[in-house]
Amino acid sequence: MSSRRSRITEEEINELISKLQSVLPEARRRGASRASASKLLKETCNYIKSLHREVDDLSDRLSDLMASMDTNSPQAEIVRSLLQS
Amino acid sequence: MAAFPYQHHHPLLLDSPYLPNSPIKLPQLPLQLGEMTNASPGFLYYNAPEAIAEASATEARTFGSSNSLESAIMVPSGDNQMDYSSSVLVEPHGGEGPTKAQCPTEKKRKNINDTSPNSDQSKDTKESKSRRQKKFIEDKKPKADEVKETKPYEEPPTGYIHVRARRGQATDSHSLAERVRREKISERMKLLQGLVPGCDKITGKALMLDEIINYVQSLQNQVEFLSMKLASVSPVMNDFAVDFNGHVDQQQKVGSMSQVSLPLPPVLQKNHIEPITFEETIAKDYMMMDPSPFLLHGQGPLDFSQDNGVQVGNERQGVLHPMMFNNMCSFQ
Repeated sequence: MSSRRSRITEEEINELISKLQSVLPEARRRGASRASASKLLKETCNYIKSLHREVDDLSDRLSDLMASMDTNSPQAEIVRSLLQS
Repeated sequence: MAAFPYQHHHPLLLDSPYLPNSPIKLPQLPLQLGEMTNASPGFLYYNAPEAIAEASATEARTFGSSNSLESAIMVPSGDNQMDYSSSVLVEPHGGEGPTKAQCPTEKKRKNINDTSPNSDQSKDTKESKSRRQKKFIEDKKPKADEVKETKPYEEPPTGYIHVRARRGQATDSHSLAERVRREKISERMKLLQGLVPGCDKITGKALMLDEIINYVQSLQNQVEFLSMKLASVSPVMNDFAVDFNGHVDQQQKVGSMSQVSLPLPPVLQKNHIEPITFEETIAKDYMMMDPSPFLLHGQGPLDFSQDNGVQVGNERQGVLHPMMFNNMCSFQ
């Protein structure tokens, strides 16, 4: 592995790490101070998990709403069109 | 890192007939060891992780016992590393344990393979050593430190061994801390690989990070999108519910009333009126009642459906009085 190449990837990775940090709300809240990469990755893990949970929760609620509705009602039509959009 | 095998096993190899005594020859050891793993009992340690751990434990003890002698040696090298070691040194104690234990041999073999092409000339090895060091320290460390850092390689860095040798790996604090750091990172990268779909097919940290970022952003968008939809759907549902209730209130008074008053009113029972259901009573009332009690009665259901327990009982009695009167009249 040539050192020149590894340095380029290093820069790339640094850039990506900062980008990742800007995506995470927790890390963003901490401000400019840069966290260690491993900490950041851990936060990313947790964040992705929480996003998964949130998506699941929202989908459940939406499908519950759909299920509780009369399928032929005009309201259901509206919701359906919303969901398909 | 390239140097750690011989440093680490230095005490053991001292007894071995294969030990090259000059420092220039030392870097060749990994190559020899790779070829002659079974040549001497000491060399076995390169292939058996338990043995390595054992050996390093022994070493640690040895060095621990002769600590007072080493502390003198340790001080100067400690000074050299002062400016950056404080942050680096803290790490290994904290999060090292679980990650360290995982793959000592794997790492070792890799290192041996890495060094073997260079081991013909000690200069090459040293170069690769320092290059690797550069990589370990990454952006944290200025070059000046690096030059100093090669020093502990030359002199036996014994002061640190009793801290690190336990793990059977590197002997200088930097490669050790750096390895811990990188193992932590790669462990978490692996975790993330499991979380991010399609990420397991990607090789290279940069691409993986890119993918992770994209995935996080897409998830954020998804959450935003879904909550937007929920918010836009919920008002519709609320309106719908209100409409529905209004509908019920207007058109199904009798129905809602019958739900509330299923138990027979005690008044009726006391007065020995036939045990007819309340609903039937109402039906009859509708047919037989005078307009005035009907009005009174008609206001009842709304109250029934909204009030509970005692209040309902009171209201019911109040409403039922005219009704009872009517019933009695009509049945008698």
